Amino acid sequence: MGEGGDGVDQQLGSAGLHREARHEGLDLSKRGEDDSIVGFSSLAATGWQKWPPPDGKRSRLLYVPQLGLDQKFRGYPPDPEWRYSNQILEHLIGEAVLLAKQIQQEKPPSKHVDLITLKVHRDNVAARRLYERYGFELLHGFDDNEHLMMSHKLGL
Amino acid sequence: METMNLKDIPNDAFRAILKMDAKQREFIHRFLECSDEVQSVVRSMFAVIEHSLTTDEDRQRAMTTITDALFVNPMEGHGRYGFDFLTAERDAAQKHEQVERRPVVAARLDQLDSQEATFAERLRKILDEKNVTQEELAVRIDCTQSAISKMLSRNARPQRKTILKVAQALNVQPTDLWPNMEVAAILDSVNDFFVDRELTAEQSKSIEAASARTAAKVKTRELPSRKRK
Repeated sequence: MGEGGDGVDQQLGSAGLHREARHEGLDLSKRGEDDSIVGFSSLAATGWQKWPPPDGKRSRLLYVPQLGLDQKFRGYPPDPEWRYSNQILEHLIGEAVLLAKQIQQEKPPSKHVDLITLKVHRDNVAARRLYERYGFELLHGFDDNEHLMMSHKLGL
Repeated sequence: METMNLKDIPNDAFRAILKMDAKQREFIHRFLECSDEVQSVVRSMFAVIEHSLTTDEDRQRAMTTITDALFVNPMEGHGRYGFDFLTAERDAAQKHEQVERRPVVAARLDQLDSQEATFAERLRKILDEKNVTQEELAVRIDCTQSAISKMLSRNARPQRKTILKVAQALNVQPTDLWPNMEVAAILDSVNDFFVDRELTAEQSKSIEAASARTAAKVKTRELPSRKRK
């Protein structure tokens, strides 16, 4: 994939449509040179109840419900500048910054966001390393049997 | 009918009603219109939701039951999802701003709907073949018989992890129940996304600490064809 040949458009998946309908959501697909989909990610703002429950203030976060890269495209192309995984992450974080700034302009401070969160399978070392390269750190207290939660502090 | 002395109603109750928004008033209105039996079910579902030992999954099912009980539209087919979920799906399929995407969304919905129907049929068949009752299955996967019944009657879509638990409990392959587990994975993220959580003190502290740290300086890019409104 070369410069200018990597189209990204809005492709609404079944999960994406719910975010679009009820949350400030974006759904991003990544297409290769032959227009095949090489991966996808999605981004949305969500609100979890903050301590103390049940009436604590809502903690607003950006959340990545889905992020994936087709296995045959993993590690390709070799040039980090154009590697699909890097492009997806860089695009995702760029979109998150734009979304966070848009929320800052349009919403009251209680709804402002400065963290992206995502879940990663605890055995998926490659994915964890990729996220760590892009500033994601483990967010303790959210682990389940299979997944770890990671967060990225946005540079706003 | 026994009349109530207004003086017996606490001022707090009046204040609470005045603070309600239109949706909350509609909720109360619909609740009061229901029979005593349905009101009793709704109250019991709230008890489930508020119980500290209730799992997220059962809490979600209880909320779906309440929505179904209060918002089912007979014209749409009894027992389908409540208005919020359905409206969100239908709106996205019919009113998506990119007209050319509407058939794509509609096709995805049809795919999910078709697989949900297949799941219900297959589960019912396997239960019959193995002579397992809904109650027995509920015990095996640690949920209520009502939850099984709702899945069979397609009043609630199962999460992927539920499909896996049911498959294990019935000693069949997950794909014997749900044809395309890739599509089923969508169910998890959708459900997970919609469930509001009460954070624990540890989680709250963890988020505070993450917010307080220095922002990550990483490269970002806006890819060429991405168009923002």
